[in-house]
Amino acid sequence: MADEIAAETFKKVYPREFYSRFLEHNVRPDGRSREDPRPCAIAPGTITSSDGSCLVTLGKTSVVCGIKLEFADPPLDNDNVGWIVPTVTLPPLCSDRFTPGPPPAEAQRLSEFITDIFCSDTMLDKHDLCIIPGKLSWALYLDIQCVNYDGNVVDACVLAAMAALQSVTLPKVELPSDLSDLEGLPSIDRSAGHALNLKRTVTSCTFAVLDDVLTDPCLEEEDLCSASMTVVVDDAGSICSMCSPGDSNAEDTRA
Amino acid sequence: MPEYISVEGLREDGRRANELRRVEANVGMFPHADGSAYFQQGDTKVVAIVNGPKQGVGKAGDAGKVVCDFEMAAFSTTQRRKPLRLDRKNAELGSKIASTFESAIMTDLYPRSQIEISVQVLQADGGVLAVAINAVTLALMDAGVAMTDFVCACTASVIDGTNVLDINHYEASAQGPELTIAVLPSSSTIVMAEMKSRVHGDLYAGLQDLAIVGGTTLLPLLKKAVHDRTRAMLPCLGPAA
Repeated sequence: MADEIAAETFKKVYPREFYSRFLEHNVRPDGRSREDPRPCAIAPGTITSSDGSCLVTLGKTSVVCGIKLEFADPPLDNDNVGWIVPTVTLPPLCSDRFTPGPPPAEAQRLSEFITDIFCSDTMLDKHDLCIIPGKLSWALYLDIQCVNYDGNVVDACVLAAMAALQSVTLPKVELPSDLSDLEGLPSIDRSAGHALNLKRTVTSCTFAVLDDVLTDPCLEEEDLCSASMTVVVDDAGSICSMCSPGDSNAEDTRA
Repeated sequence: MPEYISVEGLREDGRRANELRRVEANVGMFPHADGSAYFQQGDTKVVAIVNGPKQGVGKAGDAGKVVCDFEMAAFSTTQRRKPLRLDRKNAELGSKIASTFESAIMTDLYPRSQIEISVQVLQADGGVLAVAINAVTLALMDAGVAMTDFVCACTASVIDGTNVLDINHYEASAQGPELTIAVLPSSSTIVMAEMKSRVHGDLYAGLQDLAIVGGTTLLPLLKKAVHDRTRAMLPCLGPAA
């Protein structure tokens, strides 16, 4: 019992040293080796009120992604494409480090990152989201909600967004024969839709530098690490995106 | 016209008029909060967390203050909700939940302090306020906040002349009066009642009775969730003294 208390105190006072002692033996305090990711569960279709959804848990981190399809006007600069609007929300509920009010910078950074990956033409042809050129398009709202924030939310978000997109059914739109008298909105048939034509499947992996390179860092490790890096790869093995937020030196990045 | 109750007296999802939806509860899954709970009734899914009692903000009162932050995920409803910074509807529901629990929490025991509740709706399929209240009750129990009783909430409505319990989103579209009631089951005290439509005075008593019965029926289910959590926590105490 006394040893346990001593270990807890040691961890509180010298968290960095505490980790180093473990890493010397190639093990992390939660029992994983440096390369091990946490157990991951992917459950598509959990939110039945959405057009496509997925719940991802990565260790204790969990995020839900829900996709809603809506009619929208096509963008002004290109009238035969549709919209993809990703948003990542980190509500105060998911961690005590977020407070009610304007979205934290972290949420905006994640939204940007997800937008960069999923809004590119290499992911999906936005022409597929056009219904009537110049008149009507689909707006695909991809909302990711963090439920529990325990490190490496990036990977969980990418996984959730990918699986949710794969579960989307684009409903069949019944258009009137005369397009000029398009009054109100056309009717849709959800049973007769088709899946989104996704060009590739991406997954991401995050590493943190803490003495050595650690795969899939948890929150404690993220807070202690000197650098972290996220690499997004697709099913063909090519790197799609890379991101290394915060300060890190070239030495660390090369590792 | 859509049929809400079949000739056999069964509802669209196969329930009888006075039957609740399937309930699922999970208590204390978040380590970062003092209390947390997930509660699901049918397809309405809510997560609630409680932090506190902690140092009060603003004017120090003799009794503890309860504040509630209510949020709905953008994908929770049939029509996507634009996430707004100041959503009046959410603020209204939040203040309702806060005032409901102010009458159930023994606030005198927490002078000059504040209890913070956060509610997140993941999927809304009718009866959101009621399900949120049930989730918050469990989260408060998990946080060990002193309460006079469980707060159980349930909705009731009238569809085609029949009183129905715990309506879902489809049944809410029948435009019947929807009554949400929160009760303290042991004393049958109503701590919150909400109805946003007109209803004939003769119908109201029946609706209220039905909602109270619904709330009371939920009590053993909520109790079981808390007991399961407590039992799971027992080994953490170490060997019995």
